Order: sequence, then structure tokens, then C-alpha cells
Amino acid sequence: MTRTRESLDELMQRVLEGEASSAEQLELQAELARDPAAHTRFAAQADAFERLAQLELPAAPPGLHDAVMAQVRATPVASTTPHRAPGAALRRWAFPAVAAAVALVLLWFTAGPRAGGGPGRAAAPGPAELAGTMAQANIAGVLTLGEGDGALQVHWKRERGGFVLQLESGAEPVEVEVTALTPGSAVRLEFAAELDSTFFREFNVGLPAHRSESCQVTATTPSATLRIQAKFPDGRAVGREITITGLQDAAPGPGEPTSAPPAGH
Amino acid sequence: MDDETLVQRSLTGDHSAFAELVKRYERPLFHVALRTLRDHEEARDATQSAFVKAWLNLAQFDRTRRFFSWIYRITLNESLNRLRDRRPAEPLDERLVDGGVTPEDQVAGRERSEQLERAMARLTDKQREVIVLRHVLQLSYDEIADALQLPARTVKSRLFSARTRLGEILHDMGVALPPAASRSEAP
Repeated sequence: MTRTRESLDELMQRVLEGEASSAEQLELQAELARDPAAHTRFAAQADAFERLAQLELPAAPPGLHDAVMAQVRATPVASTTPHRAPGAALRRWAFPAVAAAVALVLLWFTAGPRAGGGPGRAAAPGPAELAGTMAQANIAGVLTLGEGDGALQVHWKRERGGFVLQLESGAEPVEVEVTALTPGSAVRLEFAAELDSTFFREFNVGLPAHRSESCQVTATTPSATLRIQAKFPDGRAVGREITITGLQDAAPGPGEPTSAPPAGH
Repeated sequence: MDDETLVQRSLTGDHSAFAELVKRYERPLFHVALRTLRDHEEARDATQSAFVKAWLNLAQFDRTRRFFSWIYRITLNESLNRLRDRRPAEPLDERLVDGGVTPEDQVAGRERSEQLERAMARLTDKQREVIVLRHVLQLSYDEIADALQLPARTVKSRLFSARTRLGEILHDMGVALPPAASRSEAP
């Protein structure tokens, strides 16, 4: 059975790390024999492994240990206040979080929705925005990172509890990094089955040319801001932030815009 | 004595226990700071500052996590803050290429090592970070994931692309790769 590229790359790593079984090693050998591109990727990885084996830890500067301890001895004994339990932290943040949510809702009703932008937000360059609910639209927004046929297209559409990001590479491979900037929102790769219900605030994925991958973004806040950065093979890096609002509305309200954000550079 | 015990004893004011933690981790943490800052003095200051912050905030350390992961984050943040402060005037790559002296540079005759250092300097901070954690500090994927607060899958993916990028940079630098045929037999 032929593996996906991602799975094959993972197998290469396992082999190079010495963690693969002999059956897996044979499987890789067979894959490399029939896939020249995989062979090249494996050769590059093997070369990097070999070179990186030369990296060594430098010695710590003389006197560092003594300098640290002199400063430590001069400061009060470490506090014995116990580490806060998660519940305590939750209680500590509960009020500000609720207050922030209320403020966002008030802001929405005070400023009102505007075409081409979110409620109460500056028109000056900033995060690309999509306001309101997107229940009527399959593809609710598009962001272009990069130029020409090599550009990365980012589509998103609303789903219960958050939204789905669809990342589509153009004619060249691209490394994409997605970071959730809004407290309470989290990002996970939809295809990363082993992550299940574990959410992370950041992920990156390498997309070959003309590849599409999607990820689920779960948000517990009315809006979520993400930073999406694309890095191209020639070293160009293009990043934008998107803020998607109205995530907790059940249905589209009258006059709510579904404007697409400007192309990002 | 394991880290957990040393942390527990440090919390009671036992300086010798904390001194053992410093001894255990000063080298890898200095390395992390040096990789980030590319300056021995600044890296030394950042490492010292990180240890002192760890001492002052030891009670806040979540003991379900590895001590190294925690102090690694402190060191990295300390280093990044310093880097951010100086970055407009002193770009990272220029400092390295124009004579930033790393310990590896001090070892005469290590041309390949120098080439590797230069190639590493051209990686992004995040790429360099995972390379150092995996290939220098020899942390497992799970340990790296814990230190960086990333899913292990992202760590693997980032490592793969970092090594690929490193190979491309070395190629651009004119550093010949070994013949592909010999490596294809590796598995």
C-alpha cells in the first residue's frame, strides 16, 4: 500500500532516528525505489541528520554557575505559595473573560455591522476581518498569501463551535503556520486524528504544491483572531491576521456582511 | 537525585539543591540563549537572568511538567526579549556572518561545523529552535512538544521541514551533498 507523503515523511524520520522496525525499513526501501521524489527527500534528510550529529553543546561560560548562585543567595527564599490549581486559575480569569465577552457583544450592538469590515473596527490596515455569521455561505472568506500562481489560498467557513480553515497551496510548496491569538480559541489540524480532543494554539504544516489541507478551529469566544503565515521556498514569508466574529450566533441577522478580506501581503 | 526532589528542596530554601539544578542545566540553557542571541555575553546574562527568575517563581512551577521544559521557556523568552530589543539595529544574521564568534568557531579546522553554523543561522528562529532541541539537546518529540507547547505532530513536521531547509541552504552555499546512492541504502 502506498503511503501518503506525510506518512512517508514520518516513516523516513523514524528510520533515521533508528526507531523503525525492520519491516518498516524494508517498506521505506521499497517506497524509495519506486518514488524518486521521496528518494531525494530522504537523501536530504539523511544528509541533514549526518551533519547535525556534529553539533555540540558549548561549555557554559566560566563563572556562570557562581554568578547565578550569588544572586540567588542574595534574594529571598523562593516563595512557598503553592502552584495554583486549574480551578483557581479558571476562577481568576472567569470574571475578566465574561466581562470581555460582554464588552464584545456591546461593541457589536453599539457600533453596528458595517459592510466591508467588522463592527467598531478601524478601517486602517490591520487584521483581515469577516463580520457576522456565515450560515448562508459555503465559503465564507478567502485570504491570499503570496503572489501569482504560487500563492497560498486560505478559505474559511463557519461550523458549529468554530470554523474550518482550508489551506490550498499553489504552484509551489509552502510552509504554513497558524497561530490562535485569541484567548479561549484553539487550533487543531483536522487530519491529525491522534490529537482528538486536544487543542493547540499553534501548528504548522508543510504543503507540497497544489495540495489542500483543512483544520478545525475551535473557538469559545465570540470572535477569534488567527495569524496565518506562509513561507515559500525562496525564503519569502507572508503573514496576515484574520479576525472572524459572530462565532456564537446561531443564524445570520439582517444586513450582516459576508465580505471577503483583502488579499494579504 | 531527580529534578522533582531538587525542586521540592529548593522550595524549602535549600540553596544547594537549586545549585544542583543550575549545574545540571546551565550548559543546555546557555546553548539555547547563545543560539538565539548569537552573543556570548548576552547569552550569559540571559541564562543567569533565567535561573534567577526560575528561583523567584519556583512556587509557580507546575510540577506535573518537566523542570527543564519550564526553565527552557523562561530562558527562551528572556533571550527573545533581548533579541527583540536589539533587533532593529543588529540583525541576527549579520551578527553571525560578520564575526559573531560561537564556541564551534573557536575550534580550528572545523570547516564543516562552521558551514553548518552559517546554514543554521539562515533558518527561521522556529526551525533553528526545533533543530537545537532535537539534535543538540537530544530531547524526545514529546519533550520538545512540552517545551514548546506544540503538538508532537507539529514538532515532527517542523523538524522535517527544518532539515529540508537546512539541506537547501547548504546546497545554495555550495556544500556538496554526499552521493545519493550511498544514502539510499540506509534503510
